[in-house]
Amino acid sequence: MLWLLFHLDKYATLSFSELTKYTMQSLVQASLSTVIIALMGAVFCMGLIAVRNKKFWMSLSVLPAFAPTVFIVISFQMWIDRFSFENTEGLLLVSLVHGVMNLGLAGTLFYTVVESGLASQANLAYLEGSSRLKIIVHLFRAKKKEILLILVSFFALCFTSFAIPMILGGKNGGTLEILAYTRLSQFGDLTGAFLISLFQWLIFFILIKPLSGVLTFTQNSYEKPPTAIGIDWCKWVGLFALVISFGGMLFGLNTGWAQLELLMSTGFGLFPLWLNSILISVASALASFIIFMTMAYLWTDLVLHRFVIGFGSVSSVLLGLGFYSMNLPALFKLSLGLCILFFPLAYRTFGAPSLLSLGQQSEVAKLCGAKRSKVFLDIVYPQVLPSALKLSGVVAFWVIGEYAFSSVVTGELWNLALLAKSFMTGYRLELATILNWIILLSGGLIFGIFFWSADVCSRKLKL
Amino acid sequence: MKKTLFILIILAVMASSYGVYSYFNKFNRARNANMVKPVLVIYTNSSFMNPFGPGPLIAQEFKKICLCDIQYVDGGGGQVLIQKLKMNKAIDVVLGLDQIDLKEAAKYIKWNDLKPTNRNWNDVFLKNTYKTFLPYDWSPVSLVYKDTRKIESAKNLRSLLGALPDNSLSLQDPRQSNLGLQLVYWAFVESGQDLDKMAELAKLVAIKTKKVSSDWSAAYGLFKRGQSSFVLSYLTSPLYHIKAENDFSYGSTVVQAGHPVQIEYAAVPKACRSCGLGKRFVEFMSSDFVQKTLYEKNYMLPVVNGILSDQEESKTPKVKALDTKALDNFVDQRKEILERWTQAQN
Repeated sequence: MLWLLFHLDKYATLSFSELTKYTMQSLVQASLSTVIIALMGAVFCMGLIAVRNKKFWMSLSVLPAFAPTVFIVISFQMWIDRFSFENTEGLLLVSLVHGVMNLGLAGTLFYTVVESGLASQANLAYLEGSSRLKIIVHLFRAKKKEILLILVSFFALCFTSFAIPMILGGKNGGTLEILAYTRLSQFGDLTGAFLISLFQWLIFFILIKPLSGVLTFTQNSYEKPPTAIGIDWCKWVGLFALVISFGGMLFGLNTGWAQLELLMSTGFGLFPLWLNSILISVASALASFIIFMTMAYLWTDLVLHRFVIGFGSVSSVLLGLGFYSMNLPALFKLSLGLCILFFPLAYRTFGAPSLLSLGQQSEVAKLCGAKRSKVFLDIVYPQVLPSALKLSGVVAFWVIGEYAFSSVVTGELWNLALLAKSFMTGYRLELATILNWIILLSGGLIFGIFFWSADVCSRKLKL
Repeated sequence: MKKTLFILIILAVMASSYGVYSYFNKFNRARNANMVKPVLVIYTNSSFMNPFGPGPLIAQEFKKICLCDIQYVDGGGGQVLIQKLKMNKAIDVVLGLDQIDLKEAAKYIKWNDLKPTNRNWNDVFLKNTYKTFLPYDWSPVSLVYKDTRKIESAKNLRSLLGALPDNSLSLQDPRQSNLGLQLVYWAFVESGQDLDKMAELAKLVAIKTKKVSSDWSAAYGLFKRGQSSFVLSYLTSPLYHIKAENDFSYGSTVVQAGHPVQIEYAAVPKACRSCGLGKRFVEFMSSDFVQKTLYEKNYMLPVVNGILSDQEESKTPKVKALDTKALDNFVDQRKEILERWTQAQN
């Protein structure tokens, strides 16, 4: 953004009516999407409470939220056609797609909230004969701050969503993000794009500002809620999201495989690109881990927390141009830039709740005279480590398939995502799909390692 | 806990070691290469530089005569490319600017003059162009279909749209994609540059459209997966299916009144480092080898006559190109035209 300030060479040609229209559309779309995500997520959460092998269901259902969007959209399009929703373009369709994509993640996060602190109360209430609905309502009411934080994360995700409104938005689904990109891509109006991006950020910040006071400290203790208060069939909602999101990626695999064999027969080095994908994914995850731990070290100073919570995503192309202008190694530019793009989203979802829950302990320790470093090492670090690992895993998964920002920054076929993009623009969509499966599996593996480590840490913490 | 931390530290050390190793390895390679031969930095698009694209073959051939290394970089296309060029980085050649970008590119970037080589150029491409840009391939824009639902020819754009079933067309958003903008240009020319008449065509387009995508790859992806019967693409798109997939079921519609054409240009910015080599490379782009390779791998037509055999010529229908005289007006009024187009479609 700083780079952009020095490169504004044209007067912006924004019209007030255009800005108002797109702002309204962005807000309505994000709000509607958040409501749908919350409802669908709550249903899936009920399923998660009921099932025994929760980790299996959670791991599967969160995948659509992290996969490359273009493929998910094409897959959705196939189902939309099957069910003759051909004219359901616009805000409603965009919100529905956001809902289905994110319901697994939302359900998982809601379940984590249920698990963190209220499970014993739920157990007791259940044994005393309280109804399922009463228990659930009580659970959600008691944990409204955490749930609010999760909803804010989804609102932010949908408010700054780009590919889905672009492809499925039709005539009334355009958002501020798309408007900013249009200013740049068609009119070269860098000033206009910059101002829209800034305006979008400002709106988001203003919306979130009143909430930053509400999002304060609560105590955590992890226990499993009684399975009987869950509803078993609700678990299928997660599977439904998975099938809808990835069904389209199963088409053309034969052709794609043949093209891959052809590519390999030319001696093309796919392995170094795969290694670069892994590298950028792990590097971004580590950068996120370091940023999060820095925030944890500075806890309970809320300045950074409030900034990250209120940080709306910057347009990838604009940020990409900023990073492109820097004469630094590609790995550094990519990992830092991707961290800027994805860290706030992951922080709101996985980082903030755990930091918020430690406020009281840290304050008490400080009042007792403990040094900041002592508080960090003995209290904060052990307790936030699982969340830090989860957050890093999520960033790793998001980053590995990203190409919009990376292609502007490097311009080289540097990793698998960029190679897949080059095939998509050159007719070979099937080969790109195969590469995306490799990306998904690799991302899933890294994500799994981080989540497994987080799980080990939280189990040790319980002991 | 300590174990996890240990694993993380090991991972961090491994990742940073690999990063540092690759950086210095690349740096050393570049330095060694620089000591012996210059590196020609070429900004192009990702489909050109990918392993199946024409880029690698062209680079291999050019290296034989230039004793240089070639580095392709995806410029991002259109305005993103122009923004990058404004930063005055060392770029020796730019490939892939089209007619719509040329005016802006000429306005904001300083370019070296280029002299067309002594080839049998197709006249269409050297008219109305700048002396700083040389065309290297082209294709008319048309609707592509699969033979289950086809329209082989139409009198003009209006009759073509009339013949299309409702909700059957996959398009690119003209606000995001130059190919999408070509359809607007088509309507603009057919309406005699009258915006009211163009708006009527825009309404018709809206009725026939099933999905508007941000770019060509998303639109073509939807079409390939059978989610639309027609897609706005290149007249030469069926060539890919014939050559790469041995699939003869794709075709493109011929419009007798004429098609808009997408011409790709090469240029050498003033900020180049290996300017002489850059100019040689642009000249090389009109050689028989490159022209043939572009046809084979980029599925675009040569700008030089006599490259294709009769059999190859027969694979792409002969069509009339729309007059490019209106292009200047179109580019100047683009904002107003797009607003009218969007309003009419709403």
